Amino acid sequence: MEDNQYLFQVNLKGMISLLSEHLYSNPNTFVRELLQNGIDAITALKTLDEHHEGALNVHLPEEGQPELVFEDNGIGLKEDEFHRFLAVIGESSKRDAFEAKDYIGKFGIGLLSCFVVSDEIIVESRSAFTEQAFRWTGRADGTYEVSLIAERRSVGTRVRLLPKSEFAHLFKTDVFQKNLLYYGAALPVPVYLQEGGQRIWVNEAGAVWLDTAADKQTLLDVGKKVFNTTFLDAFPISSLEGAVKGVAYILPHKIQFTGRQSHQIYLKRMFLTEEDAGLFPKWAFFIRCILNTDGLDATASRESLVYNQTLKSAKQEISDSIKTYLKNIGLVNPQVYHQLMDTHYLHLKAIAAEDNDLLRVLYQDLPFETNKGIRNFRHIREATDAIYYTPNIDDFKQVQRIAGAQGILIINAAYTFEEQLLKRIQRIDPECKATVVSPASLMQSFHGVDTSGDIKLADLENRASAVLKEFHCECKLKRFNPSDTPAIYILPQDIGTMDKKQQVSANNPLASALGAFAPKKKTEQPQLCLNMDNKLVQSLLSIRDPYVFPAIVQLIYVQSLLLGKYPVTEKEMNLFNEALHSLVIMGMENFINI
Amino acid sequence: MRYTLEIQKLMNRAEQENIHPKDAAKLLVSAIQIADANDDVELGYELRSELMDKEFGLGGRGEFVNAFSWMLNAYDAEPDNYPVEDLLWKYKWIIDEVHSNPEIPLDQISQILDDYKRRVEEQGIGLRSYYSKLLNEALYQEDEAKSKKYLELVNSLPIDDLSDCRACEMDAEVSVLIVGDDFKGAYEKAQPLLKKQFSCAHVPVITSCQLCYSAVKSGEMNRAAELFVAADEDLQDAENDSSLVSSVAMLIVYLFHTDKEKGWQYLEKYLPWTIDVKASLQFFSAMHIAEALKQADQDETVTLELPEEHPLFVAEGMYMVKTLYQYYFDLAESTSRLFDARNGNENFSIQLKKALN
Repeated sequence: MEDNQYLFQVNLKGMISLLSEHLYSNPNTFVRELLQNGIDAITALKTLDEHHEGALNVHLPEEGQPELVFEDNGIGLKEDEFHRFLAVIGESSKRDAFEAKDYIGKFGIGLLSCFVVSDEIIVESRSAFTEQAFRWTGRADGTYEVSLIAERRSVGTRVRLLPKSEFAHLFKTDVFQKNLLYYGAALPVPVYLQEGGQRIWVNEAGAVWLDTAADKQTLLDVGKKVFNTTFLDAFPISSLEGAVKGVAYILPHKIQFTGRQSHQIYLKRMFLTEEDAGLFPKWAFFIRCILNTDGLDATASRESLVYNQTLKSAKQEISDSIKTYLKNIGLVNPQVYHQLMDTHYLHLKAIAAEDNDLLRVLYQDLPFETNKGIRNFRHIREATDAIYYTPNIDDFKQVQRIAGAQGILIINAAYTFEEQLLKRIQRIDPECKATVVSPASLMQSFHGVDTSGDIKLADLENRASAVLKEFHCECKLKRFNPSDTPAIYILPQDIGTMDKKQQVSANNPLASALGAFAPKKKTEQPQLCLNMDNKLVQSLLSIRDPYVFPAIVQLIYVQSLLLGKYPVTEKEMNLFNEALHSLVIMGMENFINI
Repeated sequence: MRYTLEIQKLMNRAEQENIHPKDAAKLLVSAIQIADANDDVELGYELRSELMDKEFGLGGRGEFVNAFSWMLNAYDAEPDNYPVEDLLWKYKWIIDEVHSNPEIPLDQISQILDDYKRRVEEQGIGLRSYYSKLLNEALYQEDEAKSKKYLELVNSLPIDDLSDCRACEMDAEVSVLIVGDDFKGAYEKAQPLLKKQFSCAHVPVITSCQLCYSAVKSGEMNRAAELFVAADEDLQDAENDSSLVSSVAMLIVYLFHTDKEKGWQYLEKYLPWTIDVKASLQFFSAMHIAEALKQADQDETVTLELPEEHPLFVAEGMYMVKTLYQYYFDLAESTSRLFDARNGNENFSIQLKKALN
C-alpha cells in the first residue's frame, strides 16, 4: 500500500446487525433466504446433471433436537468456497456464474437474515466435486470457523439454526409451514417439512396458475384460495419482456380509485411481494394478479422490483394483455362483460379515455349519470342526437331540474376523464354531438319576456333588481318549465374567482399589478331569473307594499341559492329569517284584522 | 360553524391523491369563497396559501398573485397571526411571476423587489435569496454579464432560511455556464445533480433537460442521448406538472434532431401543457417547438391530436407542418416583442434568433 492510503475500518458486528435487522422488513425473511439458497444450489447441480431430482427438507426443532435443520441436495460448497462466499459480505457464488440469470439470489447477504432469529449459523456442506464435507460456524459477532466433518455425507447442504428464545414461535409447525408456503408455494422443487416422524409436502399443490392447460374454473378456484374472494373472471396475462406469466382476476365488487390492490408476485417462482411492484397500469385497480417473472430484477431487499426499461416494457405488455381481454370479453362471454361493466364502469371509462381502440369497443355500453337516471351511451344516443353535459357537479345539480322539465337530456360529466371521454366519443362517432351546458347557457333556452311594451313587467324587473342590488345580483323576467319553480339563480361561469373586498395594506406593492393578472374575460353579474309562469311571481306584479315586496323577493332569492346549492352567507341567511318573520307577522295581523 | 365543515369537505377533495392540480385549485377557490363570505380571514389566508402550493405545479397560475396580494394585506393588518417565513418564501415565487408577465412595467417590479428586500432585512435575514431572484431573471434573459455578477453576489452571502435549496442553487450555477456557451463546464458542474446527490421538486429534471438541449447545440449528440434518457425517466414522476413545459420543449428539440417519430409523440403528449401558461413559459415553449418543427419537412401533413382549446384544432386532426411552425414562430415572436419592450433590450428576440438559426 502506498503512503497515506488506508483502508476503512468496518465494524463487522454493527454491519451484520444493520444488514440482518434493517435490510429486511420482517423477521420471517430468513425462511425465504434459506429456500432461495437451497433452490439455487439445486439449480446449480442441475446444470451438471439435468436428471437430478432436487428436494428441500426442513426439520423443525423438537425435544432432544433443539435446532432447525434446513437441508438441500444441491451442489454444495467446497472448503475455499466457505471462506469466499459465506464469510465475505457482498460476495455471492451466483453473481458471476455463467448462468447467473437462472439464480434467484445474487447479493451475498441473504444468509445474514438468519442472524435475526439465531445467534449462530452452522452450515454443513459437501460439494458435488469432493468427498470431504465441512462445517462452517458463523457468529453474530463477526467471527467464524471452518472444520472437517468426520462422517461421510451425501452431496448437499444443511443449515442449522438455534432459535433465539424471542423468536421460538416462528419455529412452531403451523407457523413455519405457513411461511414456507407463503414464500415457496410456486417453487419447482418439492419442499418437505418434517416433525416428529411426520412428513408434510408443503408445496404439493404447485403453481397451477402457470399451467397453460388449466381451465378457467381451476384458475378461479386458485384465486379464491389465494385471495379469499370469489372473482368475476380470470384470464391469463403475460409479457415477453421480463418473461412474465400469470393470471389476472377481476374483482367482483366496486373499488375506489385510491385503493391499492394486493397481488402475489413471484420472481423465479419464489414469492417476492404483494405490492404491485410497478408492473400494473395505474387504472388496473379492479384487477388482482398472481404472476411469476423470470426476467426482472429484484432490489437488494428482495421486496420489490428494480424500476428499469425492462420493467417498463413488461408493464406496457401487461397493460396490453388486459386491454385485449377487455376488447374480446363481450364476444366471448356477454354475461361476464355485463357484470364487468356494471361493477367497474368507472375504471373502464378511465381506460377508454386513454385508448381509442378500446373506446370503440366499449363506448356504447358505458353508463353515464344523466338527469333521467343512469343510462348507457347506446340508450342516450337512441333518445337524442344532441347530447348535453355539465363538466362539474354543481352545474349538474343546478340544471338537471329545469333541463328535465324541458325534455333535455344532460349527462353529469363531473369526473375529470368523463368530459374527455365524451370528446373522444365524438371523434369516433362523428354524428354524435356533445355540447357543454351550464346554467347560463341553458338560460338561453328560457323564453325571454318582453318588458318594453308592458310597464308593469318592466317595473317588476326594476323593483326586484333594486332589492337585490346589495347582493350584486340583477333580476330578469323569463318563462320556463317547471312552472312551480319561481326563480333560478345563475352565476356566470367566469366569476367563480376570489373577489372578496379587503383593506389593502399601504405596504403592498402588488395591489397595482393585479390588473395584469386578471383573467382576460368579460365578467357579468349573477342573475336571478324570475319565472313568469309561476303563480307566486305573477302575483308579485300587483304587490307594491314596501315591506311585503322586498321580503318576498329576498325569500325567493335565498330559496334559489339553496336550490342551486350555492353557499349562503350569514347575512343572506339572516335576511331570509327576517323576511320570513315579517311575512308571518303580516299574515297574522291580516288574520286578526279579518 | 357549518361553513368550516363545507370547507373541510372541499379541502379533503383537493387533497386526494390522484387529483389534477387544476381541479384541486378550483376546489380551493370554492373553499376560499366560502371562507370570505363568512369573513374568516385566518382560514382565507390558510386556504390561499394552499392554493398557491397547488398552483405552483402549473404552467398557468391564474390566482397566484391575487391570492398572495390578499395574504400580504392580511399579514400587514395582523402580522402576529401568520408565519412570516412561509409568506416570504411565497414572495419569492411572486417575484418570478411578475418577471414572467410582460404587462408589469419595470418600475413596478423594482418596487416589488424593494419591498421584498425591506421585509427580508426587517427579519434580520440576509439577501442571498434577493440576489438569487435577480440571477434567475438574468438567466431567463440569457444576459451573461449580469448572470455572472449576480451569481457572485449570491455566493458572497451565507446560506439562510430563504435561500433556494442547494439543488436549485447548483442548477443556477449550471445555467450560468450554459448561458456562457460552456457545455463541458456545465456538464461537469452538474454531476452531483445528475447523480442525484442533491434533488428537489424540479431538480435535476430541469437540469438534464437544459443540458440535453445545450448538448444538441454543441453537437455533443452522445451526451445529449444520455441526458435525454435521464430527463425522460424523471419526467415520469411529474405527470401533471405543467410548469415544466419549457424544459420538455427542449427535449422535443433533441428528439426532432434524432428520432422524429418519437418527437411527434412527445409533442402530442405535452402540447396540452402549452395551453394557458404564463407568458414566459409561452415564449420558451413556443420558441423550442418552432425550433423542433423547423427540423421537419415543412410540406408534410401530419396527424396530430391537438387539445380542443388549441387555436389550430380541427376535428380530423390533420395539420401541415408549415402551419404548425408558423403558429409557434408567431407566438414566440410576438411574446418576445412584449418582453423586450418591457425590459428595454432585445434579449428575448436574440434568443429566438439564436434558436432558429
